Amino acid sequence: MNFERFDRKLVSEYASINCWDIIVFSMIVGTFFSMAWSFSKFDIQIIANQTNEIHLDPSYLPFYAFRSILRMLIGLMLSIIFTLIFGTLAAKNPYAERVIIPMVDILQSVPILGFLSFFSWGFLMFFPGSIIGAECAAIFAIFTSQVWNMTLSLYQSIKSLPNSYHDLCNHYQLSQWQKFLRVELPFAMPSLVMNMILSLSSSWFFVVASEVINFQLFTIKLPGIGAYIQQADDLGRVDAIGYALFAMLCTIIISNQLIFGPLFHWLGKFQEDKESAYRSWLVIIFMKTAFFQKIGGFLKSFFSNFYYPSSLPLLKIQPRRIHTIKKEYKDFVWTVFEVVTLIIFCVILSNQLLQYVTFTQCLVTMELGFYTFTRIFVMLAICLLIWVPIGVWIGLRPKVSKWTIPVVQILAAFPVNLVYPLVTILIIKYQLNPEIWVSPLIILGTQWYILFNVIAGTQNIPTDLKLAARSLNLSRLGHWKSLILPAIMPDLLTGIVTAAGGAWNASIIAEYITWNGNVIVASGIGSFITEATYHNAFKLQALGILVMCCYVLLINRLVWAPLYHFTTERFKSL
Amino acid sequence: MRKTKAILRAQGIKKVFKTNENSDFLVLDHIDLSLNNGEIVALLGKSGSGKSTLLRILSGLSDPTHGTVYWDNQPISGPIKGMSMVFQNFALLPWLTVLQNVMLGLDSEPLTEQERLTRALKAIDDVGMDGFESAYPRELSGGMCQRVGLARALVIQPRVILMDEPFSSLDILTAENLRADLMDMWRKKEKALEAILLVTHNIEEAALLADRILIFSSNPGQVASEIKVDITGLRDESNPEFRMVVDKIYQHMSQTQQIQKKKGAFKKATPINHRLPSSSVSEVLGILEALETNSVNETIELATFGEEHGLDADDLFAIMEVMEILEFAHIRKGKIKLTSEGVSFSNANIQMQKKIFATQLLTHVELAMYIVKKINKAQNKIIEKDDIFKKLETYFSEDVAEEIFLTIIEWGRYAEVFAYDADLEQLTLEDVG
Repeated sequence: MNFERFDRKLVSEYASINCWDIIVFSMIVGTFFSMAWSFSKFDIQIIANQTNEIHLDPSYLPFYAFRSILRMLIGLMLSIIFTLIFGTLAAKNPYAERVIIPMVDILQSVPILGFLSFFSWGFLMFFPGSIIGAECAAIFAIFTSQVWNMTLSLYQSIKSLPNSYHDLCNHYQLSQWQKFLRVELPFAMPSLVMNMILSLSSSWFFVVASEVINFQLFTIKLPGIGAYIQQADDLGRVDAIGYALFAMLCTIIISNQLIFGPLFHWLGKFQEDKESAYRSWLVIIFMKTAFFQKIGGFLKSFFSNFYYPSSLPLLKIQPRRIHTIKKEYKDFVWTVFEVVTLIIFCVILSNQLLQYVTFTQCLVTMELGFYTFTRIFVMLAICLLIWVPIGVWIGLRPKVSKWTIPVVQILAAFPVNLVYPLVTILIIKYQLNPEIWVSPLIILGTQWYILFNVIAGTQNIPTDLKLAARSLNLSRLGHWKSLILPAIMPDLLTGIVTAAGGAWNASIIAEYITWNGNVIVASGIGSFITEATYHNAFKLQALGILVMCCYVLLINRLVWAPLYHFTTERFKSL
Repeated sequence: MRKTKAILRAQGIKKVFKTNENSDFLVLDHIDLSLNNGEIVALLGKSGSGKSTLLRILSGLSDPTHGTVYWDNQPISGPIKGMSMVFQNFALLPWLTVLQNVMLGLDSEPLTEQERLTRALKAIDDVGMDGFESAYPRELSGGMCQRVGLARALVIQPRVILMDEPFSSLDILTAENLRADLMDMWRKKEKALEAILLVTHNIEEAALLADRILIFSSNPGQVASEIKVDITGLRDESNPEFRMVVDKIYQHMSQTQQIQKKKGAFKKATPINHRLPSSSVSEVLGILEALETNSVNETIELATFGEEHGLDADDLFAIMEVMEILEFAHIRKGKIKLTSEGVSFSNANIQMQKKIFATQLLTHVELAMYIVKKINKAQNKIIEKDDIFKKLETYFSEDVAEEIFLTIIEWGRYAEVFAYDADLEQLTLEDVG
């Protein structure tokens, strides 16, 4: 099993900012501000003793691990449903496309963790006095960490369906529904499954983080490994942390086998070349069982009822043929609509902002954002210096990379927030400056993406190029300059973008750590958001998130996207 | 109106693609053709001549700008039941088995599951693919894949099959084998099948299969001439009748080119609005090498030459056009004759060849002259790709413009008359780097 050259849409298609970005952005921010306002009006009664106690006895861990996995899987189900609906809609309807795609593009750069307590308030209001609200909030956070790249992947696959397949469907007069099931969805499947696996693996961080939801007066802990660790932190139990880390490792390895294995196996069906198809032992066992064969047969005949048009007249809609109708009229109406919405949202947003936060507060928040920004980029630079040479070294040695890749995959999936407390112990013990020593934590979890992509990129350098470079007797420097760096550049950039994106989210947790009653704070936008959450200062929290969104978005659009376009254009022939 | 027994008939077809705001690209013009019961018609032309566009219009997949397609004397407005299509790249879905792929043809028919299965199995049988029902396309060779494509076309029991270069992505032996099987099936005639329309750029193939050959000219695509094939004996190399048909096709095709040249009225130089064939310099050099002639007086039969070297008519005529544009050779009635420039080009060493090529390029290709003039006029002797591209786009669609641009860049680079930096997308006179 390997993730070689997956097609993750990390970087938006557009290298600049258009009118739709602004509309969607202000829509999203406006919604959050309104929510912040309305939540602060409500006084939610929650019975403190109902928040269940987390037991530190290791015998509870399997149960907690199960609960965590369950949350993750529910999140995945929701992501799949969302993707199927909105990804398809965006690909099929040009008007939906103009709203959905910029929206998803922006939402994927929004720091999810900052919103956690927002949503929790909302969900708690729906389910007063019950833990279900908190469960929903946690699942929602997991969902938002998984869904965006999946939606974009489906959208892009359907959009890039080859013309001959369109012709085929039109020629044999398949209905929209048949075309979707038989042609579009299977065509999109490889990239969708790859993104699903990637989402699953990166969502562990959020699974763990979302199990503890902090409010001013109380903390909700949902049964799970993340809450277990938090409990251990609060009580200062190092042994329990050890148990939890071990349990987490086992959970990841087992779920890799049980979830990724079958997914990869199934993926083989859609791949052109058979050789690389991965075979999962689990699927083979299941396929050989008579019982499951029967169930499979039943499901098949059940679903074929939905496939043929005779059964459901609704599904008979024919795909539209491409006519050259003039759309000027419709376009005009749409443009008017765009402009009006833009104005409305700008008014609302500026109103909201001016009402709740002062200009000085904005400036302070921006300054804090700059601290975090600096922290992330310094750490990225250090990571590059460390992992690029190591990654290349590994990538050039097939024997080494064979066993390092699975290990790196597990490390990348490992929710690094679990080990934050251990670093805290060191900081307290040696009286280190948290402003500096907290920084590595931000990049700790996502650095593996750099290593991983460098290894993959190096492996993909064509052998004849390596041989040619060797026959030219290049110096070590020349070798790097003319072969290795250009060849791994696209992959390296993917790794950097992923790492930087994750780092913003991590800063929310990493800049504000509690351990056995001690609080360690590093000044930055992350700790600003977390502190605001603790003090129920919703407006400041919203401001913090808004500023962080701006940073992420601007960096994505102004730095990563142009770089990404440049490298893929320049080095695509490799 | 004249009563015809034509099943499929096209009248006054014209197709225009918008290139940009205010200019159009005429792909097809004044096309009248009919497909009658019991015949195989081949549509023969160079690639890019709009054959495939015409086929899409005939099948109802796209609308003509002007004109009408009639099916049983009824105008059509979309895909027709009773008409099947075989695609050049097979268009099999890799995630479906052979059986499922064939059954896809029946998906929109109101049939029971059992009927679908029976008909699909029968069609697979007919193309000789029984035993492969549960195989996936990736497990099959190209020839096998196209058999499945054929089965999918047959399963709806069509009256007409349209084939878009069905054998062009197969190797020679496989294609031959598949053609023979197709003819066997056609002769048995047990099905509802009444006619086949075949698009091809392979002259031999047209002569082997068709009862009627329509020769297509390009810019815009038109039916230039029609050849009736009445071969009594075996259609085979050894049959002199067959050889005559092939020769005739070569003659017609080279004439088509000549007509165009006259019509374009470019006595001195090929104008910018002429679509340059996308042949590379090395292909021209290769042909000159293969012609093995150093004399201005010698003429060479194109048909024989093409066959000897296993050249596609498509490639051959494209290269011939380049030779004519650059005045290296003249082609008359299926025969090629080198000019004195052509002879000296052929004999020169590498550096001399470049010089001769440059001279010819700058006297006979207006686009090259235009570029050089533009660069010389520019203040810093640098122009953007867009300056040239915009000009091309006023005559051609974006794809074609790109193609022509790449061609002229290659010629210019070879002749060292101008250089192109692909990173900056800029054109200069000399390549300093």
